[in-house]
Amino acid sequence: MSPEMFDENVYYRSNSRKVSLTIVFLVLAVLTAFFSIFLSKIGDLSFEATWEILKAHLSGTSVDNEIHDLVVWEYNVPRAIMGLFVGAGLAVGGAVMQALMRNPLADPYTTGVASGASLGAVMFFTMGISLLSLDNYTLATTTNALILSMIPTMAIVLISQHKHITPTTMILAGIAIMYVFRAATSLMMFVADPESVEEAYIWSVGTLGSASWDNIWFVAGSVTVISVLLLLVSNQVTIMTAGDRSASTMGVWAKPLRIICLLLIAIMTAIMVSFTGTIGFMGLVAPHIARVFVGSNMRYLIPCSAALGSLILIGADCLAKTISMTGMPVGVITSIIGGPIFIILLIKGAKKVWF
Amino acid sequence: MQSVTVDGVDFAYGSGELILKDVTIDIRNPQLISIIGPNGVGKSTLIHCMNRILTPRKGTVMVDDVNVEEYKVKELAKKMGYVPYSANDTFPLTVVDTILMGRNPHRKWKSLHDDMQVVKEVLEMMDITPLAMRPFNELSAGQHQRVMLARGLAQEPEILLLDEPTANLDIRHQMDVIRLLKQLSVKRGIVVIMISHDLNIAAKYSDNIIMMSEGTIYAVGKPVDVITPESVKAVYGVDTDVVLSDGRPHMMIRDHGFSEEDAATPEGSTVSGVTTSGMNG
Repeated sequence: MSPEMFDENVYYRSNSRKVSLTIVFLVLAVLTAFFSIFLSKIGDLSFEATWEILKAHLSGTSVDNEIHDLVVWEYNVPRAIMGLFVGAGLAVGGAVMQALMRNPLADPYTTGVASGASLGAVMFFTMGISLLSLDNYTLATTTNALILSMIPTMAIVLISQHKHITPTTMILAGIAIMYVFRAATSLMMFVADPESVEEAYIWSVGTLGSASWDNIWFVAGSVTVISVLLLLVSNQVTIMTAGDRSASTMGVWAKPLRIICLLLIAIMTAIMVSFTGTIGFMGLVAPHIARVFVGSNMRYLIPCSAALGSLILIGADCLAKTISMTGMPVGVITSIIGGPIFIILLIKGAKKVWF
Repeated sequence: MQSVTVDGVDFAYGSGELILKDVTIDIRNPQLISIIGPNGVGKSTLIHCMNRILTPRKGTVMVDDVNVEEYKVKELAKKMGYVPYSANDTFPLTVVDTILMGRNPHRKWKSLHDDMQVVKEVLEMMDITPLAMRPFNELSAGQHQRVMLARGLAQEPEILLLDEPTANLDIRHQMDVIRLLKQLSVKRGIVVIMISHDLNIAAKYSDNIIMMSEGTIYAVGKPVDVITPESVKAVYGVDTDVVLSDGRPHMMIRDHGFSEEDAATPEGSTVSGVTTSGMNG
């Protein structure tokens, strides 16, 4: 009596289920983003008035109330779009970093990449220093952020070559780097013009409030392009979770792949951070929740993390908008959610928490 | 015909002590080869030099008469597979996804269906079809071992390197795995090179045996020539009797110095016999 051969359709069906779940999360994220446009306490805007303004813009007619128009179309709509893309970008960055470093605690925030970018941006905000001597506001902050985010990225590449580095040591190194950059950031705020400090502070906590039609394209474009690139190498990244040695015996060019992916993530992070500040722990939480639904195959984990990242960040932003009149920085909410999850992961290790 | 040639290889980590000292060996023709020797003599290091995981300080490694350094990573992976001793499961995949990793060097844009046929076949060969959709981390150590073997087989290499493939396996699965490796060498014409700590299994099934001692090769040849009481004493420091069974050496540990008194329990403590009385059944 020979046992039955494995029915491959079981595998294909399980993959289809993962795709369906991801689509569900994506639809939820978009619906939540749409809902968030209606959440506004400024200028006694009613739901109906917001709806009218949206309809007017989509049909190309003019809007009577200019203040309402400003709030809805120039402020809330870009903010919702920004939230979708930044949530996705941070989550994709986290998911790929975790796999490449085989470290459940890694994300752009805990490895110091975001803090490096943050310091670069604040440098231009408060002191007007551009490392490449650029005058353009957007270009100067972004290039500063990019250059300084390379420091922790290179540190990760170098540290990860060492054989005896444990995942926890690696993250402690990242947190140490983060503190140094934070101290430098604080110092700049201390000596800066008091008026720019409040803005810089809100930004350093992480906010979607600075979104506008002018800047969301940078974020949307870079997140889309880089996420697609990472998705293209997702099978290779999955194999990297078997370790560098095994991966290379299975035909993966391990070291270059890691460096290229980390550079792409640093570029994406620097661009996001330039416009939103450091939104904490998003890249940590979203991939771990996604793993519960779709497992650790990067081909499915990257899209699902992106959808969940969008959903969580937009959800947190709705909360932030509801809690305070002026709109609390969303980074406060994500840190309140993410901090405890980080501590649980640190103590228990990812396996015991999620699997 | 495939070949692995190691020529005058020295290896050390950084500037540390030499782990391999001037190792030279030429492996040709499909066969099952066991590398034996005590812990820490450089067996795994030798295998890692063969598949370019480690780079020798001196000497060269040739695969099919081409320097291993000159291969593209995917080309080498098509020629040479590797089954590591332990598997990482930080982010566990399902068994099918784990085995599919092995298809990477052959994988093309739309080849999933063909790759799945290979996966189905190796699932059968390793007797793990019922585990196919289970997450890797929920399996036992022996099941892990079989999944890793399946991954190596799915790679369809011409040369397969294995680091203790029978560790953690019960005797029936040990037999199954060794027979399978032997079959692969005969039927598919693969060179199978495995590290083993079970000298009797190595002796029974291997075509040739490489015996290592302190970073060098102590003896190479047919099992009957390599596994002798003298060589085992010299390399392992253990007294043995070796008898021939079906023309193959079979080793039995001789420990005449050991008596029951040496193992006597300290005074005052009592040891009761182990029985099943009083237990259910």
